[in-house]
Amino acid sequence: MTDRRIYRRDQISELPRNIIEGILERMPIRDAARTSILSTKWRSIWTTISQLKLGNQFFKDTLKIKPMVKHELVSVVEKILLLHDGPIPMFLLCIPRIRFDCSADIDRWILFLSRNGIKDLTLINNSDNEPYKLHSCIYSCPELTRLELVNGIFKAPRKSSGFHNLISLHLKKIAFARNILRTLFSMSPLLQRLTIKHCTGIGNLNIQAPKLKRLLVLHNTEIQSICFTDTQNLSYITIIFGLTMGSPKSVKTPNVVRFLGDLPRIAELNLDGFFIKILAAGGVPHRLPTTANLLKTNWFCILVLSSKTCIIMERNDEELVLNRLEAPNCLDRMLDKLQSVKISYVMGLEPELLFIKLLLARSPMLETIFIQHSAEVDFEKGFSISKELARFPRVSPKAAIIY
Amino acid sequence: MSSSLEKNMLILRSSDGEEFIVPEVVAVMSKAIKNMVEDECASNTIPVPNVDANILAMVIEFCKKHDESEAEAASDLKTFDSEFVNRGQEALYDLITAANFRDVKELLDALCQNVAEMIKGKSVHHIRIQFLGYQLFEILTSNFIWNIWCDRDFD
Repeated sequence: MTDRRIYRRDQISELPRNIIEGILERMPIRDAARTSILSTKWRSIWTTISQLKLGNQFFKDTLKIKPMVKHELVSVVEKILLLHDGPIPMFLLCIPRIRFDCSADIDRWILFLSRNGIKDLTLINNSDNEPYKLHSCIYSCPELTRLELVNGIFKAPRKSSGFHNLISLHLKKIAFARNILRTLFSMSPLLQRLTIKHCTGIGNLNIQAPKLKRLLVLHNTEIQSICFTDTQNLSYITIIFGLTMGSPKSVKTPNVVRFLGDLPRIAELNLDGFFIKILAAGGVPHRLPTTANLLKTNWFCILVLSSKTCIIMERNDEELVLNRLEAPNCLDRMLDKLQSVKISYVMGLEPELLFIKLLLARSPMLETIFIQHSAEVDFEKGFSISKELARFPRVSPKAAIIY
Repeated sequence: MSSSLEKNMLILRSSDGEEFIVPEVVAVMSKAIKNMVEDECASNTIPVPNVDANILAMVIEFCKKHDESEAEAASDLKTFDSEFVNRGQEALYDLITAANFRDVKELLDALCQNVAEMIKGKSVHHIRIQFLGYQLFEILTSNFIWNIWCDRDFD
């Protein structure tokens, strides 16, 4: 065994350069840097890797060795950047929880990156002091395609600049200056993915991005209105307000018909109760206009509007039915193709049970229905729900309720 | 043999002459083969030089699994990947060379990840012995000299 080991050839150094770089990119930057002392051949390889990830783990490891003081943190990042050879397409930086302000240093790093072909920039600010004010040189990175920013402030760009190649934009805990979102949309013409999470100061959210495909709007405060004006390609939407918002009346949206009309390519909709309430406040028509392209997937989508109304959308016959749950003719057709249903967070409320009853009564092909109660339901309540469920008549001979 | 072949099947011939019948969708996961098929410069049998039957079989197994499980949960695929690449070192390097030469991106990613995991957190001596084929003797002597030098320094 030992003999074989001694005379084995140096396989890993013989691999093509791109593979070695690929391997180094997949390990923490500390380990990658340590390979420089393996042999003279390896000395400079790590300096040309295309991804620099200075994440939480990196700073945690550094912290273990030396007490984290400002100049240590700054110098370690600066050493890595100075040693680096060639373009840096991907850069990730997580500022750890520190008490001092290093925004001037971050400005300098971003300026450096903007001159070194940055394409994918992630900047996560976990420090306790003020949010980082994004340096305006970010607008002059011609190749930037993905930007992720956590805990910062967006400043208005100069007129001539913009994100000409930006495809994916993720913003979390960002304070927006007034009306900056409209400017953002107009200056990033290629934007395809947008995430806005825990942000403040949005005001009027007017989505105006012709190439946009995925939109996530989660737990933001201070939204005054939502509308979609130029969104012919939008196909995945998630809008969740959470419980932080005041009364539904404080937010303006188009009504259901306008809302769906503005989204001709929609394939997946995830809306929370709050948003559905404000949609429903705009008036709910008896039948929705048929939108042939709605819901490309072969899915069956249900929007429960308030506690008594629901929209059932079916791709198969391209017709939208909207009715009151309690009405006897609610869902007068059979759901011929429905095979599996999953319902989570069941609280045992009357409309919920009514809805499950309806599903069971109208789906001849149903095989399984998964029902998961919410954490607030105790054992006794859960038992009474399951008793109730067992009593419902079923059309499908094979239907199994998994509770 | 080729007459009995269905239209969307391809034959891959390894460097030692063994032939594998593979569906086209699986074979074109290799970009190099895809280019050959698209340019129509490939006849029914595609030679795969530099890759022997043993390694080629492994690559095909990997591609088949990835082709089938496109809709499956990503976590399942990840476990499969990490188990698949967990092989002896010799096979690992042959696989990397094959994946690089044939340009199979998913396989290359999984393999690089595996090597990275193997190097991560190891001491320099360990990496030198295990991966760079350094001779144990060399390291022992350098250690020996280092120890003498250190002793002298502290004396």
